[in-house]
Amino acid sequence: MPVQYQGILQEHEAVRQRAGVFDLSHMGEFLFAGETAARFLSWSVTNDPVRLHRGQAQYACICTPAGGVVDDIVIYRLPDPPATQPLPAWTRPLAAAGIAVPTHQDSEGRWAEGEPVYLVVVNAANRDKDARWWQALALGKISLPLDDTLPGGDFRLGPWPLDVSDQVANVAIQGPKAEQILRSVATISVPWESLRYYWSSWGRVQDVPALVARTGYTGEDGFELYVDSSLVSFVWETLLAAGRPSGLVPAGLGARDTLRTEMRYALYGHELDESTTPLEAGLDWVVKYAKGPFVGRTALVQQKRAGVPRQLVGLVMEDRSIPRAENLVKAGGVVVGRTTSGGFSPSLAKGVALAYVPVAYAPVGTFLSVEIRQQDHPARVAKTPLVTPHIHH
Amino acid sequence: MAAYPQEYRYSKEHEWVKVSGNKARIGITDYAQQELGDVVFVDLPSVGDTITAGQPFAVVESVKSVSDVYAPVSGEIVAVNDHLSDSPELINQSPHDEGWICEVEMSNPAEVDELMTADEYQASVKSEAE
Repeated sequence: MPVQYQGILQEHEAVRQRAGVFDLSHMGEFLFAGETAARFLSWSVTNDPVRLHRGQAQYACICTPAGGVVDDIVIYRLPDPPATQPLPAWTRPLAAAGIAVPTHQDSEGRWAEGEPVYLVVVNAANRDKDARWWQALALGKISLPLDDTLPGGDFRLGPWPLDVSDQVANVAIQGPKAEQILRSVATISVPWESLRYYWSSWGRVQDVPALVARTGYTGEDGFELYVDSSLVSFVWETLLAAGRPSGLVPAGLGARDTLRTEMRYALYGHELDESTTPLEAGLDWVVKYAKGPFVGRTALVQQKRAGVPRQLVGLVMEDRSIPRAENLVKAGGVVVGRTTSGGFSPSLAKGVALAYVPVAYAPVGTFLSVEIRQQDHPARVAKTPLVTPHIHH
Repeated sequence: MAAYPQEYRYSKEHEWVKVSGNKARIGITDYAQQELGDVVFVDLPSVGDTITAGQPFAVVESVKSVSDVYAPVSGEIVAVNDHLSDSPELINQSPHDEGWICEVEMSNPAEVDELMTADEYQASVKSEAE
C-alpha cells in the first residue's frame, strides 16, 4: 500500500465526502475454530468474543499480564455459510479440520452447532509477535497472577490459531457512498439494510467469494472485504471501475493515517504498545472485567481502581504549526507529555495531535503547548473525535 | 513534468535560484514539491535574516512530512513570499514562479557558479528517480 496515489488531501476528502478504496492486504489474519479455541481466544483478549453472535465483530486488545497492549485487533465471528454460495478459499483450513463446510452444515445451513469460528485481524507488524504470544500463552510459558489463569486452562488447540495472512486479502471501501458503490457490484446473503456496523455476511464481488464486513477505521460508513489474495486485484479494479463515476478514489496509508487520527483511533506503535494500557488509551469499552479471567485482568482492575496516571487526548493547534509524533507537550512551559501521532488535519485545516498527558491536563479546553523545532506552539485539548463521525458505535 | 527554467540555477537539495543582479530569488523545484506532496505549511524566514549556503533557512511541511529548505546561496533576506502563509499550496501549483520563498541580497555571488544548470539538474533528478 503506497503512502498516496494522487495526494493525501484529495484522498482524505474523497473518503469523508464520497468514497475511497484501500488495499489493506498487508494486515495479518488468523483463524480460530471450535469451543476450546474460542475459550482460549477470549482469555487472551480484553473484549468478550464468546458473546459475539454469528456474523458479529468486535474490537479488542491483547494484553500482557501487566496490562500493556501486545496488539489491537478486530475479531470477526464468521457468519453461517449460505446454502449455495462458495466461500473464499481461505476458509479451506476450516473444512480440512472438519470444522464446517457447506456439506457439513446442519439442516438450517449453520456451522455445526458448538463450533464457533473466528477470523482475527491483527496489525501487519505484529503478526509474528502475536503468533508467538498465543503459542507461549497456550504452553503456559507466560507467568500470570493466579486470578488471571483460566480454570481447566489446558489448551489442546490443534491447528489454531492458524495464520492465514498470506491467503487472505483485505480491501476496504469507505465513505458515505461506499454502500451504494459496493451494492452495484456485490451481493450478500442477507438484506443490505440488515448489515449493521460491525456485522458481516458472506457474499461475492462479481463472482469472487468474500466475507463482507461493515467495519473500517476511518470514521465513515464502509466495508472491509476479505477475499482470496489471488483475486484481490480483480476486486480492487472492480470497485474502482464501479466507483469512479461517484467520485471514489484509491486511497493510501497517508489518508488512512489522517482519517484515523481525526477520529482518535489508535495506531499500534504510536498510541499503543506494551507500556500502554487500554485504559490510558481510552479503550475502557473493550475491557470486559466481568467475563471472567483473562490475561491482564488483575493489572487492569488495579489501574481502574487506582485511576490512570495519564490519558490519551486530542490536541488542536491554535496557530498554523503542525505537530508530529514524539513532540514534547508542555503546560506552563513544563514538559507533561508527548505526542504519539500528529499532522495536518484536512477536515479542520489545522495541525492536530494525539498525546498522552497526566489526567489533570486531560479535560477538554485545557491550554497546553507543543514543542515543534525548539519552539512552543499553543494548543488546546479538544473533544474527540476531532470531526463529526458518520458512524455510531 | 514541469519544465525547469533555463535561466535558473539548481542545488542538489532541490532548490532553485533566479539571479537578477546581486539579488537571488529562491524556491524549491517541481521535483521537490512532487516528492513532498500537498504542502500545508511553510515556516518562512524573516526579512533581515542572514542565510548561509548549505544551511537550512526555511521549513516546508506537507501532510506527510517535514522538510528543511537549504540556502543555495549566502546573503541577507530582503523579501519573503508572504502569500505562502495563507496559500502554501502555491508551492505545489507553481513551484518555479508564484511559489517562490524568499529573495536575498547575495554576499558571495560566485556561489551561483557552483549550482547546476537546468540540464544538469534535470539529468540529476532523472538518475535519482531511477
